[in-house]
Amino acid sequence: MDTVRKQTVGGMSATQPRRGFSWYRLREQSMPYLLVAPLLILIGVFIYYPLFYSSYLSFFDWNFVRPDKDFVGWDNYTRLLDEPRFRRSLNATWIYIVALVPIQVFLPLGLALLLWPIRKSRMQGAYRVMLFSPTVIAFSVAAVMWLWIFNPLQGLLNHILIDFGYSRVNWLSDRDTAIWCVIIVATWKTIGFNLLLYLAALEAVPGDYIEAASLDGANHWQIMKSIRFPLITPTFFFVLVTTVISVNDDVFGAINVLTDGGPFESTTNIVYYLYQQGFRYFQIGAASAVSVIVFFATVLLTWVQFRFVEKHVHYG
Amino acid sequence: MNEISRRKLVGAGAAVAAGLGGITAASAAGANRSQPAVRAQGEKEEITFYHIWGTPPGGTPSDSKHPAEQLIEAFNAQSTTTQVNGQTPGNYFETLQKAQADMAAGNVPALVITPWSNIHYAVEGLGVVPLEEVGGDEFETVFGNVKENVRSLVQLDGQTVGMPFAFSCPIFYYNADILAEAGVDPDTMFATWESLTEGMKTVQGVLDGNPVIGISYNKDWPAQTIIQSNGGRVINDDGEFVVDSPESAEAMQTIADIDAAGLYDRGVSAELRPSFVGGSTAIFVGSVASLGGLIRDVPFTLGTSPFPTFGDKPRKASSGGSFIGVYAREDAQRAAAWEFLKFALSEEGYKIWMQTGYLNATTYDLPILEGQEAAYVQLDEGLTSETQWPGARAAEAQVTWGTYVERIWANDIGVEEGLQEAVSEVEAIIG
Amino acid sequence: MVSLSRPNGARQREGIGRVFLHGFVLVLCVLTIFPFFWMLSTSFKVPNEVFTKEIMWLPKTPTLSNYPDAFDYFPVARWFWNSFGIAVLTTAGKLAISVPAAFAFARLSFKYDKVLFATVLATMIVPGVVTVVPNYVMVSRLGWMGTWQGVIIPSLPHTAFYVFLLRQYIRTLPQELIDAARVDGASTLKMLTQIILPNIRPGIAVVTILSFLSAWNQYLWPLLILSDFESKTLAIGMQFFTSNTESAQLWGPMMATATIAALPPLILYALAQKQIINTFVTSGIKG
Repeated sequence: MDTVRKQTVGGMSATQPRRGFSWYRLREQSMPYLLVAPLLILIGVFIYYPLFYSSYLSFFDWNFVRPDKDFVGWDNYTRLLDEPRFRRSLNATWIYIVALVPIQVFLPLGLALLLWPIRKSRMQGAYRVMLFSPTVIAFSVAAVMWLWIFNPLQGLLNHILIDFGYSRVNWLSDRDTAIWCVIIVATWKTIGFNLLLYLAALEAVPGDYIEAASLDGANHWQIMKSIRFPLITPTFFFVLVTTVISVNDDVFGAINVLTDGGPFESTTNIVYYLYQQGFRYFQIGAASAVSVIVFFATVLLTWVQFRFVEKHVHYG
Repeated sequence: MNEISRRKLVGAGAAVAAGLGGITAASAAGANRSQPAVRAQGEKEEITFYHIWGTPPGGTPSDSKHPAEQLIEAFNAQSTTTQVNGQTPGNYFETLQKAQADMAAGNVPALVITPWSNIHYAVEGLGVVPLEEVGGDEFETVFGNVKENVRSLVQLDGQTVGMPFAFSCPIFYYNADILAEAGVDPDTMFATWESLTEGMKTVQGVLDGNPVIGISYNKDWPAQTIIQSNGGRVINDDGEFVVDSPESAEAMQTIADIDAAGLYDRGVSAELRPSFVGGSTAIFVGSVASLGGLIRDVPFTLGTSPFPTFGDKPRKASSGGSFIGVYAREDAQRAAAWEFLKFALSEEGYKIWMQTGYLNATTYDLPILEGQEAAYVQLDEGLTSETQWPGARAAEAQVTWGTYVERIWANDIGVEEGLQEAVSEVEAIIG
Repeated sequence: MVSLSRPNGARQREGIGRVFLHGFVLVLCVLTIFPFFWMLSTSFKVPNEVFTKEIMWLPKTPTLSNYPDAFDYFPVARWFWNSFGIAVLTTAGKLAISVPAAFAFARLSFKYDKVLFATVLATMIVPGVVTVVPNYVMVSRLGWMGTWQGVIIPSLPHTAFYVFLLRQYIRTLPQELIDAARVDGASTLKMLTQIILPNIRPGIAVVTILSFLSAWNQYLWPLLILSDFESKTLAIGMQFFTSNTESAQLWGPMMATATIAALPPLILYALAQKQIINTFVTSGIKG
């Protein structure tokens, strides 16, 4: 493993005499802070401060236009818990997590393993571009392509079904299938990125380990199992954690273009619900309350993963 | 190495400088757009008008500019005092959102197109200015040109909230070729809901078992016409949500039965129109405002018809669309806004607007588009105002009800149960 | 690669296995890019060939007019410029704040360095949606509504992943390089610009490309901030071709615009693919 030694600031260099005070010393000592300052300031202003501001706003009733806000205490929260539409959005949220997380974590891994034995072939580059291409385009572009595929009367899927003698399915307007259409499009769109990470991780396994193992007589499968697998667990864990965090955010684009939350709001997850509350109905207080709930839920989920899954991760 | 990195820094610096320059330029342009500038004496007063028609309509005779934009251009050309800056933030939702954002930031747009259903919100939440105030003495003369039965639609508590502009009602479109092929006579078929259901079964034979009728977009809008035509109400005069009456239930059941017979297209909004245009379905219920676009798009003979009736009961269609509301807070802005409204309500101005499929809300005798007769039949019978949702959470209530309409019509929930749930949810929202 | 001697039969089986694998992957690829094919095909179709009862794979009467038409209907050229400008400036901004910070966290030791790095990493836990409403209010108060800076600046801090990646990458640079520079009396700043920067070009290239891609395709945030028609980006403006319920739906031109919107990212990625993978390999997620 890398042995990185940190370079101490203001470290003594043979040619720099030690003086009581010098601008150079001052500059050197403050330099690290100067280097990280812009990043930290922006993070503070546009990520951390909004967290507090959201919490603040969640106790008010405000429509964004009126100059005054009405303090309502916990009303926004209790209202949310009572409201059937919010509860229904939790249902969709849950489905997205349970379906998309395994798909987005394991499917690219499987693909990476498939691509691995043929990684030296000349087609490798072409394969990767093709498989990564959905990730590269905008969600609206992606959704528009799929709208045609899912069209119930004139779309591709139903044409195929009918040719095989089955009857049409109303993909985007049937509450049982619509959410899966969103899931399919979101998957198609985002698999490429995790695939890339896994491929890189497989490649990054140090060659010496592999050589040593083969010299000991291990075959490909054994090498894969006991060396590569464990060494890519950090990547796996990273993919897992980040996917859980971002999955409900990611599907926003797909929902917005494909179903607008329908049919009958069955594809509306908590993020889409937040968007509607805040930017369609101008209920800033309620939207903020939802933000706060989402944040704490995410933190909780992340903590759970660190607590229960991380111990299985092998750090090189 | 030194050289490379120095060049890199210079390059980076130049990029940042260019970037900052770009940002400043873009923001200056942006700022100019969203701030109505108050000019010095002798120069034109500039006002902003947010509307939704910065897109080309189908079937416009000459220009590719939407009549709304043509109207603005014509006004600007002839006005010596006022310059209107028309902008399209998007659809109704997005336009209102932008207007609100601007109001919150202190840049109040003078004129904003506001959907009829938001009339309460416009008054209570956004502070729309009654036209009697804006127009002063000129109000009566100018507004005298608006049809009598339309004037009441824009009034709330005795005050005129805005100028009726996009004035529409829902109508039936049909594929005349397919109906002819099925041997069905449109006049007979569209007479009553009974004859319609019978006729559609025949038509379905020609369509290979496809559903026949698609009811488009915000289904709560045609639902209002259907319910009212059977004697029910959506919101009664006391502001209560009363869809659980027997008349309403019966009306809703009619559509649910059509769906149960496999005749109803359950597709999402984005799919309904292409299905009709592509010839997969035969009937499309939509706004008369879509007429221009449909004429241009369909490869078949397009027919239109008023809604069918429930037996002998009178048809009671609702209006739809939007009005132009004045939101300006300064006198100079309001005066300028009034200048534009006067022009829009003049014969010259309104003639430009009539190139769309929207209905003539004025008393001027202007030519109508072919196919609009169906809508005028309903207009002459008397259109009701579109449901005016009360309270601060009006939009949410409307969407909640719309979702239940969709579910009931697609038999996702029973009529009785659906209506009861709808009532309890909507009442919780509008309080 | 270590070669082991194996019996011929095994090698043959391996050959067939490879063919199968290639075949399978090829099928997957076709399925994956198939929607693109449809998009491209439709962009050459006349209006009444877009939705037909029978599937029309290729246009019967292909037309090129959708492309220039798209520019007539909507300010597509403006949108392209907006997408491009916002993507470039966002990328430049993210680089400007991430590279120095990554260097500091990788090679410098200073008070609170671990805590500060943790707060940077912690931002990855905050889902984007949580900050949308307050940022929207703030942007409005600052008068940045509808401006490029309103879109760009709040999105700059979402760069924790890139900081992490760059930090890892910098840590793989040989220590001798740093030491030599110190011995020569280089200040920290000089070390950054003259030693580190030239040596992490692949890492910077990767961050540039990934960040450009994500900015080019951004959806929700520009949707909320950019409401003027002219100021929209390609990603959010595209839907207007078919979203107006009261006028013609322009699928052909929309697909043409979608093709135009998809090309720069695709080309960029194809060119940079090797770099991206190499960087991930070198500085991957090894904890």
